[in-house]
Amino acid sequence: MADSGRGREWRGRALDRLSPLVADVDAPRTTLSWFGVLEQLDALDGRDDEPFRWSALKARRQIGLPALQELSAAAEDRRKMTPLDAVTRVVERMTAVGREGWADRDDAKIEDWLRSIGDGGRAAATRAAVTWVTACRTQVRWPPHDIRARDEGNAYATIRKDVLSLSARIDFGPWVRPGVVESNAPTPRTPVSLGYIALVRAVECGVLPQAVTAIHLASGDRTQVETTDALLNDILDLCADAITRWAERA
Amino acid sequence: MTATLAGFFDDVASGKGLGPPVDRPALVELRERLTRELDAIGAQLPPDAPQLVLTKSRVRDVLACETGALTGNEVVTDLSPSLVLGQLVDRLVGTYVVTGAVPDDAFASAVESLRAERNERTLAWLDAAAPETIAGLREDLGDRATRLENSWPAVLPEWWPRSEDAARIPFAGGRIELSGRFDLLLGGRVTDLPPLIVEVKAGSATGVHQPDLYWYALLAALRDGAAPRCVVVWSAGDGITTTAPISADGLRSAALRVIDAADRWVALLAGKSPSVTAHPGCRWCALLDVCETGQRWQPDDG
Repeated sequence: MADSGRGREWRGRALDRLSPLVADVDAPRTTLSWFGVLEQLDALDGRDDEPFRWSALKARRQIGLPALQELSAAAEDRRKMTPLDAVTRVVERMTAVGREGWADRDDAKIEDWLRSIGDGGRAAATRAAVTWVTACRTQVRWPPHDIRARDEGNAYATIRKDVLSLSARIDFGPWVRPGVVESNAPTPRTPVSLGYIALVRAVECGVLPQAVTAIHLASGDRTQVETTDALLNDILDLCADAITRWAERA
Repeated sequence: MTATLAGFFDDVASGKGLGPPVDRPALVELRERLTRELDAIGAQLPPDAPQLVLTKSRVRDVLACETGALTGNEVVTDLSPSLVLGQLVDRLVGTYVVTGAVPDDAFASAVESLRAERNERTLAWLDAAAPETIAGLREDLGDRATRLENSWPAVLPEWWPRSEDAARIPFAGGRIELSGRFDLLLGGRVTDLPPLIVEVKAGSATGVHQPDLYWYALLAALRDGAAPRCVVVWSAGDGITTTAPISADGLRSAALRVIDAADRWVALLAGKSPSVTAHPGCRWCALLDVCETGQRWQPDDG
């Protein structure tokens, strides 16, 4: 079981430390993801200032997670289903409700994008998602606990209700031992990024995950961190630095 | 060499054309050796040097000629009709794999794929290309689409096809990374098909470089913990299928090349003077005009 005593304690510690940093900020409501935190610390190698546009690469998780849910349900029901079957089903479902002509619009949903890119474009999106799903299917323990598609896996830590939240994404696993899918190989920063997920969950609901896992599709590795006080202290320091900088720039 | 890819799969179905299964202890030993050697080599990287990313071409290039490899490392290759054709053929094959059909208009379909991938560089090149260049590409791609239709089997979903699958294997605490991308992986794991890698070449089979195929096998074995039984190259230019059955020895050979290449790159990055060696790739080297060694290379030199 997750330790709610530690969770409440860490929720209190984090809010005591972070809330004063934004007490006097007058800025539009902002949500910082892990990348947003790194961006504040100037710790990202490259910065993409272009507006968000869907692409086969960016769509693969959005298509892949519901496809993994399909595969998991099929396994539960003892139905035969392949990653290609599952992804095709999801792409067809999304395409059916999308709007034509929205491929390059700022507010396009993935359904609109899929509808607007033609058969060749949908084939590209399908193959990227199939490759992603197949790699996940072979690396997560099967059948998996709780694949979290779309908004089901978002966690938000409210630092000041009208000003700043921190967000994290969880792809699979029970809340006490959540997991994420990483495309790349592990880096020295991976353990901190996983601890960040635990801290956001603790602030969100006062319950601290025992451990957080990442599966790394490109390398076949698995990183798991236990949520020790030392790790959480490091992450809290890092978040405090990032929020201080954000507040200065706001 | 097999006449068609469909013929190769018929062989696989009857158990022919595959390397012997590589057992797990052999793979563990291979990884341990690579880890030991690459950790030691990585420790020699200058502290301010960026991560050393070893790709298929960086391994091949530095083993062929250190001077040429250093030059190639600094030059961004311009797109050309043959390079763009290669990208279009990859999209054509990828579409065939997931839809089970060759599109009626192969060129339009491949361009739609490039758009969905936001491959802006190639799209810009296509936008700027002369009408006769586009017409030539359409024709060449159409020929390859016909060869695809005639020589590929139906790729069953039960084989778990996954295209453009990336592998990045870190060593030396991430200072060295082996990096590659498989055109198509099939089988393995819970499927009934042995693990296979299919590489697609837009040109002809004569350009297939055997050690490159072992490189792909090594990457897959390190990432997946299971070695592919065969690496297959389908050449769209002539429709010929070239196969490299994979054994533990083939993987060891690939690992030794990687170690040698890493050692040379690290020495070069640490300031060693690069050697010059004549080899078949001299014909395309950016330094050919000023390199006497390269100019002296003849096909008979090997």
